[in-house]
Amino acid sequence: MRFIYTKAFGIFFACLALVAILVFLQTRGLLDPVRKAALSAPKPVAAVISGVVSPIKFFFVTAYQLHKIVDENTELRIKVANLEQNLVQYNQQIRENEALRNELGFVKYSKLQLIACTTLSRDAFVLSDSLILNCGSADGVQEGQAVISQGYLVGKITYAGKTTSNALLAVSSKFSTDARLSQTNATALAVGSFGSGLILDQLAQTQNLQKGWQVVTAGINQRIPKNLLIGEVGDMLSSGSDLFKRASVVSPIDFDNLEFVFVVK
Amino acid sequence: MKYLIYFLAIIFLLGINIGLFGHIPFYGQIPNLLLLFACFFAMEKQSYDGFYVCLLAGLFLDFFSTQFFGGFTVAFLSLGLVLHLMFNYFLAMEVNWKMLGGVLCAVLILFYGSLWIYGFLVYKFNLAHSYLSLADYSRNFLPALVYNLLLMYPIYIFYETLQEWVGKLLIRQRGVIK
Repeated sequence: MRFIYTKAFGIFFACLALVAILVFLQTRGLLDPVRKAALSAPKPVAAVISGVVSPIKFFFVTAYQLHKIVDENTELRIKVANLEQNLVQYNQQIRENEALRNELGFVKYSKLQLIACTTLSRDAFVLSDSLILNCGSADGVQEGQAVISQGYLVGKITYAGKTTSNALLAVSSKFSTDARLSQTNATALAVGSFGSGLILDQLAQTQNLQKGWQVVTAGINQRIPKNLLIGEVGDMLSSGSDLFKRASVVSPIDFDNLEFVFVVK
Repeated sequence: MKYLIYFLAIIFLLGINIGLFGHIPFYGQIPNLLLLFACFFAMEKQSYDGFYVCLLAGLFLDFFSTQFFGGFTVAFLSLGLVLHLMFNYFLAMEVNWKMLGGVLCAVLILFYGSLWIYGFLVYKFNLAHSYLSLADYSRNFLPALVYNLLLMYPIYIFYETLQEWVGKLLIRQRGVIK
């Protein structure tokens, strides 16, 4: 036991004391500038290497997925044709809606208030599927607020520092939010799933569920507004004997390469 | 001077970790080059540089982490202390390449274990809203072990080269070589 009195232990405890001081400073938000500097320190090296690796990766990934892309293309052409038809109907409905609102004297609904944020980094070593954003409480970011990208829900704020914040990605196994099927208004739960994206869970067996239906937020959670797109229903994961219906939710967002996101106030 | 070189080496490895290996995940995992780098320092006999490298590497990872601050630093320092004690007081023989797989396995268990304990404690003291469970860590364990094992030798070469440079630089500074 003589090694307890050695220099190594002395250095170890001195380092621990330093860490304790840093933790205290971090909880007070005083380490935010240091954190920003530390996050940008390896960026020149990472940017140079990434600039070389990204095109190579893109080439091989594209070559590997070529047959899949052809199928997807056909599928998308059909979808675009359907959507164009829906758009005409939708525009007609908007005009009708506007006319009716004017007639009834309704106040026009307010649009979402968004805070533009840039991703500083992804969680080191992908342990928790989170992002570090360059906006914080000084910009109006609060814990629990929704994070969107291209109109789709991609996560929610788990920690809001003064100038930076952490966002838990929707594909994280720790993520869950209330959801609704836009076609039937049936409420369910959208949960992240380790390695397999998003899952629509807790949908009553009596409810209809079809592939391609859109999943949106239900608005039960006050911090996450209603009708934010989450994705569309993919494959069914439950059988008839299960208590609830489950299905995968397909989001078009590339969660690995999120650079710019919006926090919904 | 040598501490500045170690600092720059850590930034360089972090840049490679994010810029290169961030694009090539293996079962969702990317290697932890800083862990390997710090381990080689901690295994050095009669040297305390390992603690400096562990502290710095841990702090960098904490800044990059979205978990409660300090977890990586404490895990790195604990690892540094255990490895230092093992290699200075208990282990009589030299580590060879056959043993390295076992050493890395033990290192990862200790590293993830320390991270989990720290996360659990800060959660229990209401300092964090959540913590990663042991199941989360164990799911990542095997891919992380394989990936880190593959990169152990290149990092060892980098470490050896760096030590050689530092050695030469120190001799030059003392004026032995002109």
